[in-house]
Amino acid sequence: MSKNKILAACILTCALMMTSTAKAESYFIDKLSQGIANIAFGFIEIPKNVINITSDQNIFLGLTWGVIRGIVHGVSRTLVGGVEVITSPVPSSEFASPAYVWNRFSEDSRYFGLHYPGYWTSYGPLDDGE
Amino acid sequence: MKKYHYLPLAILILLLTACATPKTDTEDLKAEIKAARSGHYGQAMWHQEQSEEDLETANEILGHLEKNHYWNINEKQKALDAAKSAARHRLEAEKEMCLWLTEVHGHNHHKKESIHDTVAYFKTGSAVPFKTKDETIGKVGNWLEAHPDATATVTASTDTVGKPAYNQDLSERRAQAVIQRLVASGARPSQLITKAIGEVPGADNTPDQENRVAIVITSHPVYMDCPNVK
Repeated sequence: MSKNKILAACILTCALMMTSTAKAESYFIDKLSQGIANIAFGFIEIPKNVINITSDQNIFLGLTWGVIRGIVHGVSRTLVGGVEVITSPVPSSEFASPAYVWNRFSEDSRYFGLHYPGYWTSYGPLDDGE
Repeated sequence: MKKYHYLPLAILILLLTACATPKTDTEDLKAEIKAARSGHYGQAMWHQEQSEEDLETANEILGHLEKNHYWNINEKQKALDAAKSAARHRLEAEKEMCLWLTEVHGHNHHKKESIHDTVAYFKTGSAVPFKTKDETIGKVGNWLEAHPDATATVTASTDTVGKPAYNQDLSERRAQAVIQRLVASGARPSQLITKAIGEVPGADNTPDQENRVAIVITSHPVYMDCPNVK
């Protein structure tokens, strides 16, 4: 099978999935927008971790452990964002939680339900859980 | 030379004084705010508001827990505390509302319910009544049970047949006979006041049925709404 045929089959499959129902369309738009946002703003995980760890612990840990954690989270969120864009036509549950980095700023991000160690355990200054 | 120092200093002080933000007197506003929540009704409103705020917090966190949001923060304890606080404020609101009810209409209650009635008749020398008004005793017993703050006085007496000391003891036993019946009808012993008056003054050694009786008088000095709200 030539490359063109494989590509055509993929596009057709995607198109069929996209046009199946209105719900699937909504899934697609949500997932695509989340993916794009996570690629573009994944780096906000760095200030998010610094701010929340500083608030929970102290400025020293915030600027050391917070930065390290923020970088790991930033890379993770960006990669997950890419996966979301690629798989956007396929309905699924959210890969990253919170879906957007600015949502629920005091919640430590998780990807595919998994979290990293060394998280904070109290509300940060930018979000009191309301 | 000195005057060149004093002049700028004076100008500086003047400027600083002018820049200082004048503090607005808020005492009258504070007093008005306090007045808005004063009294039993105001306090009931305040407790109700606090209860609603606490419940809102508890419900908000319940939403988080159900959606698995804020997993890294132990919110459940906060929600439990808020729910408990809401329940406490609700109870306080209810108490204040009851006190307010008493305040505004307590004087209309139970005035006509006071009873002054002869409920037991005795033969000479006997502490066992040959006739009782069971309906009245039952009514008073039930009423005392429903109103823990109310009291009743049982007054028993004798005629002049027999020795005064014996008649004093006899009148006490007669009163006790009525008290037992009241307690059986729901009254608490602490609500009953015994008044054994012994012989009713009169001609010596003269039988008199009117004096061989026990009388129940109810009183209700302090009316209270919702006595069971604690």
